[in-house]
Amino acid sequence: MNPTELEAQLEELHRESYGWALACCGWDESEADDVLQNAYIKVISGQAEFGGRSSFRTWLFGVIRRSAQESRRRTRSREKTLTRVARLQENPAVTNSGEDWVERSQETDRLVAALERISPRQREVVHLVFYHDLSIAEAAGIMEVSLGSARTHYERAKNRLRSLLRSAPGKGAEEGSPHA
Amino acid sequence: MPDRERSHPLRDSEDSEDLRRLFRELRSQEALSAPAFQDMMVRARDEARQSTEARESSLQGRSGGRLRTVRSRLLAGAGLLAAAAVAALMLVGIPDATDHSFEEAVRSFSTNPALGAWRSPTRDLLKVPGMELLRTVPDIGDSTWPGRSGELSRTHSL
Repeated sequence: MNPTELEAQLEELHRESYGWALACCGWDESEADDVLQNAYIKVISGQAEFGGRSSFRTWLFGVIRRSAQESRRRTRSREKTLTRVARLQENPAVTNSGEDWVERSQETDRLVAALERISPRQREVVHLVFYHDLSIAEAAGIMEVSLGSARTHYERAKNRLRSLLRSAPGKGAEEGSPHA
Repeated sequence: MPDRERSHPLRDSEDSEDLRRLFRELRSQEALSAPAFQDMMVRARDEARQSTEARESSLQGRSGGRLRTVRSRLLAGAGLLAAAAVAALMLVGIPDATDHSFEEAVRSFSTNPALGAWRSPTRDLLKVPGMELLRTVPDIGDSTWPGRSGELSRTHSL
């Protein structure tokens, strides 16, 4: 795949990739920007090379997921250092909470809140299946887990999400209302 | 999307429609906040170029460093060898080319060769009776024994 084709493919999937980056980063927009940027750097510099063993989208989502994991590791290590420094200076612990700039309806806010409360694997599989319209097998490929495992996560995630959405505050106000 | 549904037998499209609808909504809202692709790609290209250049320069630096290391190791090895040679010479000692007593002995031998033909005065004491028997070998098939006939068989002197 030549660079022009590569960029065309990336552009076609850009919004979806951003959505996936957001999910991988716990809806922290600045982190999602960085993660997506790093994934693009890997793709265009050849650090990540598409081998054609899966669809381009599945492969790209895998690259984004790995970039997010790397970013998380870096953030955790930075947070640990900052916390240690803060403790040493007897300051309150420093936290790194990302701000959320996406304009969402209450309903989707509740969905995001519920997604943040389920396990990462469950979150990934339902996001890939429902948001990106992938099959569970494709999701399993991106998540680097077996199909059986992905299916288990998927079933548990659905039940857990439904339960969380039912018990979420403000649910009654929007029950049955058209989508925002 | 009937084709996709057919290709995804694991997807339960009916009982998950509630969740599917929520995710579709989330997707459409998040799509509006996605950063511009071209801006992101320009930055990505710049960073990719910088990282490639940095990698290349680090590789060059590493190979230059390797040459320097090899050279310094060779120099150190040569220095060690030289030191070992000096130490060995000090321990063993340099043969004295101006050994006067040796030169004198050589000179006296060349002027009086008889010194080289010296024999011990007790040399004859080493000759014992019957020594010649040990120096002769009888011929095979010869029945006569020197002790019986009184004549010696032909002998081969060793």
